[in-house]
Amino acid sequence: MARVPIDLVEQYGALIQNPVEQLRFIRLCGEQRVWPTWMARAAALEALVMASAHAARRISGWESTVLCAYRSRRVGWAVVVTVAVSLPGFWLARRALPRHRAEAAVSAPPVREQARPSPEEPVWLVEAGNAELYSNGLRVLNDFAGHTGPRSYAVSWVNDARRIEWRQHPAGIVYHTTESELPVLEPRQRGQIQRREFGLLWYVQQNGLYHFVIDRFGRVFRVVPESEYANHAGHAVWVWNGEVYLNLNHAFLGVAFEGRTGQPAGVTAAQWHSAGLVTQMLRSRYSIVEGNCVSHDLVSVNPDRMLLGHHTDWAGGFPYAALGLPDQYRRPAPAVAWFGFRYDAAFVAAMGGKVWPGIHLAEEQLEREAARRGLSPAHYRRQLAQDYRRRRS
Amino acid sequence: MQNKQSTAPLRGLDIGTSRIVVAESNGSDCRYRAERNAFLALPASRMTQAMLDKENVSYKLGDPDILVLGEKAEQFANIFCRDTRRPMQNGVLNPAERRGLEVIEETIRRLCGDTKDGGRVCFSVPSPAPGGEAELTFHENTLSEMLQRLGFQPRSVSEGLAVVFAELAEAHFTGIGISFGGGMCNVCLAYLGMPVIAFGTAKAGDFIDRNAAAVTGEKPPAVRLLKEQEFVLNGHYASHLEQALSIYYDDMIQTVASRLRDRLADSRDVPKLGRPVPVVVSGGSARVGGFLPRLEKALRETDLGLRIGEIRLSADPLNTTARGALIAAQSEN
Repeated sequence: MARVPIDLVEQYGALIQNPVEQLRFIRLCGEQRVWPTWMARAAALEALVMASAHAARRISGWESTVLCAYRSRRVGWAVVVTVAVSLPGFWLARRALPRHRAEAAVSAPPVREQARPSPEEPVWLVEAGNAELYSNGLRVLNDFAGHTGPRSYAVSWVNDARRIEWRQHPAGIVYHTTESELPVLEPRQRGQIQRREFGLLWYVQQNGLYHFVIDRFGRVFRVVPESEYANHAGHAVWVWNGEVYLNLNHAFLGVAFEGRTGQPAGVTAAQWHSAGLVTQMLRSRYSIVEGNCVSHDLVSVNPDRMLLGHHTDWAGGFPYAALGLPDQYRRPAPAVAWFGFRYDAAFVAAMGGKVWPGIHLAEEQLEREAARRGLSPAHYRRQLAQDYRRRRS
Repeated sequence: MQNKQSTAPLRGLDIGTSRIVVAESNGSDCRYRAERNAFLALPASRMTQAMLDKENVSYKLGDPDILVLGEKAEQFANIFCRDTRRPMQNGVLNPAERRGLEVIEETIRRLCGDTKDGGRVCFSVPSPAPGGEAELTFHENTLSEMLQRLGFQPRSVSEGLAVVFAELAEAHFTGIGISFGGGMCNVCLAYLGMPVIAFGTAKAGDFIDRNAAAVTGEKPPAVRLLKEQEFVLNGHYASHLEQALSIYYDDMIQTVASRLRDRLADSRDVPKLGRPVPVVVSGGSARVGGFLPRLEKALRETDLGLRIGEIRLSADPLNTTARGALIAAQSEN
């Protein structure tokens, strides 16, 4: 059997910046024996994914397909044999059991335990250092803390687009999921779990993606200091109490849960507990109102196409109640009501076939306002879109 | 940040003839702690102990004497008009120094902290000089046992390969790493992170100091001081001592180049390298001004049988080996 050829090692090795991951990748390539030789690329991709979570994100769609095919080669025959053996029994059982409708493919991570720390209780720093301790029991680890730049953002008002105020204080929180793959939580996956998490945190830090990341074990990592911006929700819209926020990278703090929307592992109880503590700490220290605590799916927009859902993490399923927050999905969606954003079939599919009630409420509000002004909804939408672009510029 | 991967921290350890360096990862940065690998034994007395305490000097109470370790040992040696003792010689444990291992153990304990955390540590070992294979085996196994006693999971990495790991990631760990240390020069040609050729030569920093001192009548510490602070290897010399230093530096460089040529010619394992091979140089002896052009000239004039690409000094020559050892430890985690 042949080894992975040097040109493939170099091609995929170039995607890895970290020398440790690069060395790991090259060693893994050396361990792979490929036969027939057309599998060499897949073997190199396998090594890449195992060595570097960061670089793994950069492989293309067709490369992912090649990798999936490669991974399934060992189980292929086993599946064929298993299916052949079990088919008669399955057929008999299927006849005997009532039929159930399949669940929607996309679902928000399940809530296993709810943490509701009191928002009124002031939270203060007990211990500073690499592992900060706060009075509500929150521990924040600073091992991955990096820097982006100072926060500064403009706030305008719904009824007065010309009035602009520049602020440096965080106004709210956006909850994200990292949309990273979680290895199965079992002892033999230990190395994989550690590597993936390391890769994730390294990548997030390098790109200044969030202010905090809560890993699957509930550990809270500070990635960017609260006094600086993070690149977590640049194309986003939120309106609260008449104030309009159009770039949440600067205006809001980003808190990300390690996990992926729709993944069976979901978000763990430990993560919800930590998220409750982080929320309490941030709201207490920066006087953040509950109306400005929002999930990413709720605020993310595509400004070029005037569509909702540039990012769809949480898929309309963020459990606000778990953090003691009001359900924002039941409030009129600001991007629709105030700026005329629409949504398409891809968005509906990403939401599991059904959009949240706030979008319908916002559309009703928009239509009422159009009628009050003697305009058609389409005409009024165009006006709102122009207003949005003016504010952005 | 990599230390997040496991509960026990990972460390890279450069146990050199002149210095011991520990590299630990602190997030994306690497943190180093270093100490001179030397000691001075003073007769044990309350007065001596009180003096050391007053001067805030780290020492180890031994029987029947007190061991002053590291940088301070050098200073006290000057005060008492004595020479420091060296736990290692020519890159391996000094057979004439019965307390050498004890001193190395104590120095590592102080650098790493008395953790017993069971963390993985990759420590550097020299490559064998001609006829030095048996000594090297003893050296490697003794240090490994000592590190286990300290509560670590030790793995060894050849010093030249550690230089490759630290500096040649962009070349996919293919190239030549050379560490010009105090006791030895270590050379490694690696291909995709695998050592193809690795060897050591005993002509290194100490060889230069010792011989330059011998021919000029100076003391080795004075030679080292001049070498580290003023000397430039440019073919011009203002004194007899500088002339001697130039000669022995050239000897060291020529020895490395000719041994590399011989090993490449003898080896059947050298893969076909389609592109020029980069060379990275590290170690205290390579920090002298004018060293790199001299080495480059020597390597390019020697018929090595492979194309030499860029020749450069590592970014942090004194800590490169420790960093490479840390990368080796991290990659195996």
